[in-house]
Amino acid sequence: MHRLNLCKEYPRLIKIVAFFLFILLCIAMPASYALAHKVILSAYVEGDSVFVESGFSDGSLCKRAVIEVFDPSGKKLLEGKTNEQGEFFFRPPQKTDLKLVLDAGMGHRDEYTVLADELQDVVIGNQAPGTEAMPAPPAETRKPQGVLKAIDGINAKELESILDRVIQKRLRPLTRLVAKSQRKTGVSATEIFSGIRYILGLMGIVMYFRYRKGGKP
Amino acid sequence: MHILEGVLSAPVLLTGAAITMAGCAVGLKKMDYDRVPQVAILSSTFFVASLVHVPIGPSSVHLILNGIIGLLLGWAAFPAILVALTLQSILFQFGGITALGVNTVNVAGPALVCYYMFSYAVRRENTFISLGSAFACGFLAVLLTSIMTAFALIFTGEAFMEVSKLVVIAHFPVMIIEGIMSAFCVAFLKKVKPEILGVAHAPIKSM
Repeated sequence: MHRLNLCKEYPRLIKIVAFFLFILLCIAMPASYALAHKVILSAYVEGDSVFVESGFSDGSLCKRAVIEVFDPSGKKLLEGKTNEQGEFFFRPPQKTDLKLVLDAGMGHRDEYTVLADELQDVVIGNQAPGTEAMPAPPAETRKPQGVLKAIDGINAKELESILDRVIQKRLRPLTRLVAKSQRKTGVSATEIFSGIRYILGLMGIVMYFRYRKGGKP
Repeated sequence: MHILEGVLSAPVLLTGAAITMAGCAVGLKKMDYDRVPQVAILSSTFFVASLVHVPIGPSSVHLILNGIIGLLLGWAAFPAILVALTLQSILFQFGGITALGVNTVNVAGPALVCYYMFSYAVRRENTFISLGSAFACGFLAVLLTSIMTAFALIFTGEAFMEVSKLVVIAHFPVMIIEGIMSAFCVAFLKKVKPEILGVAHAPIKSM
């Protein structure tokens, strides 16, 4: 009985409560769903290849999306698709700035530019781009010899290239982590609630002006 | 429907912005001050609903709820959706700021169409007609939104068949979900608060 009275006396209250429950339902229901939306592309040079990682802003992967590579004048150099891990790699065909464009369809796209500076040490090859697997760093097989030889006479250049490879290998997890965290600009509860508060605040402003004009409550 | 920055061509963006401005002007003019809280609540509902994602293929789709918003707000859907989309693009980077106009038209346009098509039918006493049209309202609104988004992309120059098929097919599950949600919403509101659907005191007698 009490509830019925409430309905009669405060119809607006009931209405508002109902919609808030609805909103809460919307928040609670999709907890398992990815909050994916924006796609983010990042790339880094490793050895002779440019590695491209793509994903949605919540950190989930962007599988089988088309990646196109352009030179600074806008000419398309090559094109490929990301693999199941959202990765793609290619041998840069030239040492200029490379503009990478990811298109996941339906207006989801992102760009990333690899600067010419980063490509300085790359040996230009014309192997086809691929997504099969990471090319095994050539260092793996040659390294032990290099290290042994280092005792009897190693020139600065060799040492530099060995160090380069080892550092790159050690840094790979870190590079990935950074690339991944760059992508993670996802949605947090704070932002959701602040959005709702903005809307309610706007409502407050409108109501304020209305009452200031002396309208009837 | 969050088309991002830098995807659309300038004419499409400008057209979208112009229509949105006109729609908002009409919406604000027609909006009764007593309904401001209702507009705000539905605006925040839309704001949150877009976070409910359904992953499909390389992309993902989300709830839009423009059917029920249009049904309840009519022209006021334009300002409500514009506000929500603006906040989404600022807070979540969903959709570009320059694409706001186009995105608003894509969502609020179908909402308005559904308002004119179904607001009468939904008020009918006959449960079957009322809930059936509520379902159709939710379904059609998403369908129209996906078609309009496809067109916005086509006018910018993407391949016609591929894009339109992808966008429309990807939203099919959302259409079904929103149809059902709209039906539940209407059933609930009719019981609890029929005035909100524009029913003065009693539901209109079915003929």
